[in-house]
Amino acid sequence: MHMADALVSPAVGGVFWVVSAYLTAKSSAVLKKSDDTGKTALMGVLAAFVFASQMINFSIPGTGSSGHIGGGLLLSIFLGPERAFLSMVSILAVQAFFFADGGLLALGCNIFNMGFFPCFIAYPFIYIKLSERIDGTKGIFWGAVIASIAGLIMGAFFVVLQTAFSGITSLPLNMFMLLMLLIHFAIGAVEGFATAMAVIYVYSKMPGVLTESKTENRHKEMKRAVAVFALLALMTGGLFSFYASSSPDGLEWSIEGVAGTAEIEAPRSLPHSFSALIHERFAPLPDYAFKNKAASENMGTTVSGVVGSIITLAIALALGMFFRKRNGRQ
Amino acid sequence: MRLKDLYRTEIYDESRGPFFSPLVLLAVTFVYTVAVVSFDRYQTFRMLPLAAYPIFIGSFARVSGRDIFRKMLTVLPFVIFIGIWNPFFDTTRTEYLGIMISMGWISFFSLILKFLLIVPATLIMVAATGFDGLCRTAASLGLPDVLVTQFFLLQRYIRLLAEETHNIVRARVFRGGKITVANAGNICGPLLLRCLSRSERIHSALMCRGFGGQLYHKHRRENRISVHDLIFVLTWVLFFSMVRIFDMPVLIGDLIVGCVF
Amino acid sequence: MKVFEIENICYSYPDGTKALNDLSFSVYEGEILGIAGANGSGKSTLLMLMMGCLSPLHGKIIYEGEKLSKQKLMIMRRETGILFQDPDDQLFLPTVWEDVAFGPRNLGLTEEEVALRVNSALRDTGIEALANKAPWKLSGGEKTLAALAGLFAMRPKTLLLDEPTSGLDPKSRRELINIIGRTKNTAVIATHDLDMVMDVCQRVVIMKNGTIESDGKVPGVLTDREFMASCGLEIPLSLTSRFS
Ligand SMILES: Nc1ncnc2c1ncn2[C@@H]1O[C@H](COP(=O)(O)OP(=O)(O)OP(=O)(O)O)[C@@H](O)[C@H]1O
Ligand SMILES: [Mg+2]
Repeated sequence: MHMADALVSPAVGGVFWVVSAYLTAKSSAVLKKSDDTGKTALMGVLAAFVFASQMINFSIPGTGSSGHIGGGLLLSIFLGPERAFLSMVSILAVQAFFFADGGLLALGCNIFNMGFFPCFIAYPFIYIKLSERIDGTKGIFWGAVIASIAGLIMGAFFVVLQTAFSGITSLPLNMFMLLMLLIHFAIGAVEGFATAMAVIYVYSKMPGVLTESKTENRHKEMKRAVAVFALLALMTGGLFSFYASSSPDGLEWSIEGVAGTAEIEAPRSLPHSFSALIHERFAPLPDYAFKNKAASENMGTTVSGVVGSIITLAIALALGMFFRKRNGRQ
Repeated sequence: MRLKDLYRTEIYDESRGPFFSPLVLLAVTFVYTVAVVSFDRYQTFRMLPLAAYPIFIGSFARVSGRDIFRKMLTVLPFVIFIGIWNPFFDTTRTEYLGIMISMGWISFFSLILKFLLIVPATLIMVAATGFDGLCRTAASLGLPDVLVTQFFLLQRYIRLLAEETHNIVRARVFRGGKITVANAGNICGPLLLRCLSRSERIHSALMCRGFGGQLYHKHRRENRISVHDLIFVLTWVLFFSMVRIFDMPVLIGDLIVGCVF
Repeated sequence: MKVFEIENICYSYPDGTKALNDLSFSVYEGEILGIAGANGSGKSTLLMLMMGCLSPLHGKIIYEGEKLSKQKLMIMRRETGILFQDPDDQLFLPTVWEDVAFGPRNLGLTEEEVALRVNSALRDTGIEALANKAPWKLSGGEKTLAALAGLFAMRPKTLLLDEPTSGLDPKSRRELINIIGRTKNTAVIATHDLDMVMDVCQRVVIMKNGTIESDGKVPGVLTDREFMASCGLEIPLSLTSRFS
């Protein structure tokens, strides 16, 4: 459920960048204060492990589809929330840059959806509680499965929210949400199951590793930040759901009406935007303003547009090769 | 996400062009991305000239197009999943390029175009800077030490573990084994255990060499931005704003068409 | 003076494998001690325990007259360099040069001093040509040499080496043996390379199934064909004449 750059508007991307950057800075500050470098290597290697393990795709019997280990929860179990969050930041950044999974602008959204929820919400409030209540491997199993589902559902909900706020989809929100939540419920169950099996395996071999991270108490500062963001997320989500349900086919029109999404500044209708286009087109070249506005006019625009595009791109290509040659000669 | 992508690509590690500093490329790519997504959902051809940027950098840094194409294919489905509903729900019809189609198709086309513009640009930027170039940029941007260390360790061990994982999977499949969720524990578990003990050894190796929380000591010269770089940034930002404000394709096209005919 | 004293150490891995069983010996200052033994006899485990990467179930490890507490462990790690069996565990940075410089930089040296140390370490190990290569692009032997250079740049008092010559070509092996032979450092070398033990070590410990079978001067037990065979080893090549 990586948000792609093409799916977010600058405003949405910007807001979540700020939020994620704040959480990252806070987590780092808390870790720096605790001055415990004991888990540095573990952080790096486990992040690499999550990466590598996502390359093992388990086939799910009877469905023909496949799943893999989920990242955030597994990391939290071994590292605690702050370190897990930072590891997720590194993983998501690498995915965005090297695998085109996500993107530069959408990175903030992805960190929030896939880092914040599993590490700071699902792990402490679901996994820990459940695995403390229920003894032994059963507790780990149910804790991991339920926390994983919850984390993914929350993330998926925010994917819907971010997409809608960005004004990308025309899919009625209710349907979009239902679709996303159902799909991610299923994915969460599979990921949770795989995560649980791996953790139980390790637990059976080295019980010490897990209890260690559990007793690590969390810092007040971090708790406050998490509480604030959880509250904000809850409020945004609540408001959003309210609008989603009150305007079954309205999607972002309604949001635009209420919140006034500023980034969609261009006119809505195509004829309108064409006239704006024509206007822009003729303003710098007044000679053309007296051309008759026939149907062929649009064709003319298109031809001009295509020719212009090709020329611009050809120049770019030529310049690139020219500079490469020149650079090579130096 | 394919395992082979990680180590077959030349993207992985080598920084190719010392010509551009990674920081500069990162900044321009960011502005570029914002410029692309700032076009509204019914814009199509107007943003096309922006492709000049990835084409310029790509031809400059000699990035393999096939590689980028393959990566794009793996992530395209999610974008299509989000966008494909538009034609069904946004059915206002309008004239476009001389044909009548629904606005939904236009916005879908616009979305795909944005995707096609942004993804190669990011991948090309990475290819031109390299993984360690990016890690160094991260360090010079003043990221917290914890995160910088994390990036460097991740860059170092991701490949190693990917190969280890690959071997485990191959060993299993070669002997006719199947990989299902049911044996997730038996495949990932040992790998995880090995990672835990490896991390302990790495930790003691770090300690032996006096690690105090800072893996990478950044150098002053990496922060320096040359006049070259500055011109590069300004030129592109100017270009992006021009494309954003004026209808460049039509402008240039008119000029040419007007001159020729 | 004793650098390390190991007293009645027992260690089992979490999965129940008994790796070391009631093992005692000492390492004296300035000596080069070889540890030999069949695969799985516990050599690597022993070095990991000495380095404090694992903690013993019973017994104690004394470093320079003091039991290893958290503080003493820090001091010990600063003064001791360990080469792991898998050099990938100790090369972290994107280029060999930077990796070798990592230790000296942590000591707070100036850039000139760092460069001096790094270059001399690279020269000693003969890998100056690889300075700007990425660790993952090195061959197995080159990785070992790079890791060794990283140790040497720290100028440690004691070296713990786990199979330093495995994967080295004859020339590099010979050079490494020369380097070790030249140092005034204390060194503990776990190895299957008994000829190296013959060449550089003054004392050798033979391990079998997590215990010490023999501890004495070189060549000593190394010449005892039957005893060596009972420990899963053979006498060094240099003592047999192959073509007889
Ligand atoms: N992480 C581990 N978990 C469980 N058992 C282990 C682990 N590492 C090693 N062992 C076991 O401990 C015993 C001693 O292993 P060790 O690695 O110390 O042997 P070694 O003497 O170094 O062998 P080699 O010459 O092959 O390097 C072996 O029986 C091995 O199977
Ligand atoms: Mg060994």
